[in-house]
Amino acid sequence: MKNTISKTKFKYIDTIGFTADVGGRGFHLPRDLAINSEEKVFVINRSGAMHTLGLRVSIMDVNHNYYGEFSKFGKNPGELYWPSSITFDTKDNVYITDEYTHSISVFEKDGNFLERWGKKGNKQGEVNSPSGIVCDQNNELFIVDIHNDRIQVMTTSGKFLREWGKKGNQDGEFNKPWGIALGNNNEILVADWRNDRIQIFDKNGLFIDKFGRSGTNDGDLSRPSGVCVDKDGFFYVADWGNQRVQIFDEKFNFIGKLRGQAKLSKWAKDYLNANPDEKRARESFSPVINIDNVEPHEESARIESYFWDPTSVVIDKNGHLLVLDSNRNRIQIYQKV
Amino acid sequence: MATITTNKSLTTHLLRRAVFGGTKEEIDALNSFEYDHIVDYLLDNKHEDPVPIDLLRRYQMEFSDVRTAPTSGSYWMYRMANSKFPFEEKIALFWHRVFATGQNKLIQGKVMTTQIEMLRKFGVGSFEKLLVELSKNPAMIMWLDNQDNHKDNINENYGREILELFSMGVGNYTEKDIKECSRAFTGWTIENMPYNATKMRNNTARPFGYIAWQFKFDENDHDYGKKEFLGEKGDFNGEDIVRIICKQKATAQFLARHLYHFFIKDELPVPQWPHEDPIDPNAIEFIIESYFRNKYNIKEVLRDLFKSEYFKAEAIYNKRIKSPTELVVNSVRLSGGLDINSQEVYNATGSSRLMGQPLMDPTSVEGWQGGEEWINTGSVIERINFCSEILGDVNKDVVTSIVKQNPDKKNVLNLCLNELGYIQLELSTKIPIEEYIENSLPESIDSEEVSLIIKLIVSTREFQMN
Repeated sequence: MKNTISKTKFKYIDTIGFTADVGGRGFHLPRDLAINSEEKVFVINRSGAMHTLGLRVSIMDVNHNYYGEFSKFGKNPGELYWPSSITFDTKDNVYITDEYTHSISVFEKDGNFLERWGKKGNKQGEVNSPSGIVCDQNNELFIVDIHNDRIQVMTTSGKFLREWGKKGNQDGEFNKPWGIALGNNNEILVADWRNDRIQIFDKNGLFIDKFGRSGTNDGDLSRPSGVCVDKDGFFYVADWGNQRVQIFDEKFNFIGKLRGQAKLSKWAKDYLNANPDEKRARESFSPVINIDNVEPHEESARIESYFWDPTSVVIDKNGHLLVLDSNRNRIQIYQKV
Repeated sequence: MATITTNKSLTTHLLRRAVFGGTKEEIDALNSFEYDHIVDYLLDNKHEDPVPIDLLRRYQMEFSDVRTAPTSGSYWMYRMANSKFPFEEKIALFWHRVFATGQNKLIQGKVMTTQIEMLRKFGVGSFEKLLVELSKNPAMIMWLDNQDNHKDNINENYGREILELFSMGVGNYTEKDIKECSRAFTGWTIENMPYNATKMRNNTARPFGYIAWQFKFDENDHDYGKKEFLGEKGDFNGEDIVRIICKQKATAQFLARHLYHFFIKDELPVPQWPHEDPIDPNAIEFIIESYFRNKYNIKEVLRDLFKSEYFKAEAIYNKRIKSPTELVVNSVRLSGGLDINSQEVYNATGSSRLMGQPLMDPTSVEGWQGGEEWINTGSVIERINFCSEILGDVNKDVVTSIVKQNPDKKNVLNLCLNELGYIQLELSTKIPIEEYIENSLPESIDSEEVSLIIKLIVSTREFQMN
């Protein structure tokens, strides 16, 4: 697949990951990822009701080194039920939202549990299924409050600071928002999921701009789940419903799209080397086949190299784009060239 | 033939059989229309967005790749329990019982979910088109080993079952027909078969999850030679075979008996059909005539059937045992549906399994026989417990609706019966409950007493039947 339509091109670099639905090196239905100051990648594995052993936070780096994991499925403090998003404060403490327990769990960078706060409700400081979360340089947490269709800003100990947004499709309104990220000038970018757009605010909630419209054509969005921005001001959107990542320049012009080009990761190769019958069978494997006329989600289910529910996008310090490829239990990495 | 006399009873009956029963509100809303219009509404009012798939996939992430039996079954359970167009779910459930396919062999649930989607889409159109789609369905191909059916070495599994279980029934074809049928389906396989078959055999989602299968016609592995099938000669392929099958009276009769079995009255188990006449031969002949007149169109056959005297017969009213899935879905829909933001769907799916009907995991290629086979000492306890728990929940729709109507000892039983979908109790059932209310309940009826009466009602034979 041709990845771009402009002079800017994006090159596939690598894949990290592997299916590990009962724990261990790999992921299971990962939901979000974030990179701390030590360049360690933290991945939330939401797993599923039938695979509760797969729920944990995995720690690794982009060189395939796996450092371990922490937390597990449950409703008690230190446990996670429906973890959704992850961020770090300036000390690398870890903050994880949980849509089921309506709370934010706090861990040290090595996974030691510190505290949990949050209460279900719609008053200030209460949340109804918190989703995206991001921490700024001032240690203010910006939390997506899905069912209240608002953004709340809180301290790292859960004290309410301010809020904005309500249900709707006008500027500054939301419809079940999902991901949130910081811009280069500390703007707040919100993936306004069911409105099929990205909205941009200042840190006090003042509406600045927006881009995206419903659809499947270039530049259109369908249920965007995540967004990030690189040092050149290019926006990368996890276009979840269209099963792709789209790239926009600083003026929101469509620059390119990625559909996914994953190859075997190091961990996947290790697995196949240990299972020669599967390795032999895979030698006849045709990675991309002609697909019947099906919608993108089904298309992704049939072609292993494509993104299948990309939920999150992050730029690392080298400017590489990390795409969390949720249903394939891996991260695909791309570079702008 | 005595028929159901009141429009409300007919509406209730239709909703129980054609979909999963109706709430009081739904029955009241439909009841003002002519019965034939209600039939048309149920069959034709296709909703563009029957369930919020995007929200479902967002919250229940495992529903997106539906990797295991409980998950894919739960995805379907959610759809049945919450769909705004339940007829397409009911028809898929009907075909799932006829074309029983199980992921205990296929391992991955994704392809089963895709098969159910195919049944939703094609299950109400031409039977000929449905059989072609079934033959191309990857789950069916792997379930009945057609990937191993080669031009120089046929595998008869699918060729046999399409005749025996899916269309004509035993006794209407020869062993030679099976071989010729199998030859016609050689080369009907899936993309990347060797690798996907190995992953299936090894039961592994590694390295990057399962790969959803896609049909592939391998022309190099297809037997293009002359064939003789059911008296016709030609270089038949699979589509030709299906075309010939569908014009047989035996096919119409076999299908008619299945429709009667599912929508009218419990028939004998399928293996007995070659040896025992149908319960109602006139009804079967009626369906056969409709099948040919409507050019094999299933929805039109059902439209005829639902409007017929056979369907309206008083003798079948509330006389068919609800299948576990019908019972669970009926109860959940009465209670207000499944919360998308919870795990309760897994309880519903698990209960259906415990009652004897694990979705997408039938006990054999013959599916579930139904009827009295649904009932044993264990399943009855599970049936009553599930319904009591969900419908007797003081926080759910049924109890809260009744409490809002200020029940007293005189009217509480009728309020409960109506709220559960206008249940009609026989006197031998009703009188003891009335006596219990009179003698044992306090004058003031609150949610706890309502819950108690609901639990009594759901344990009755009348509630457990459709």
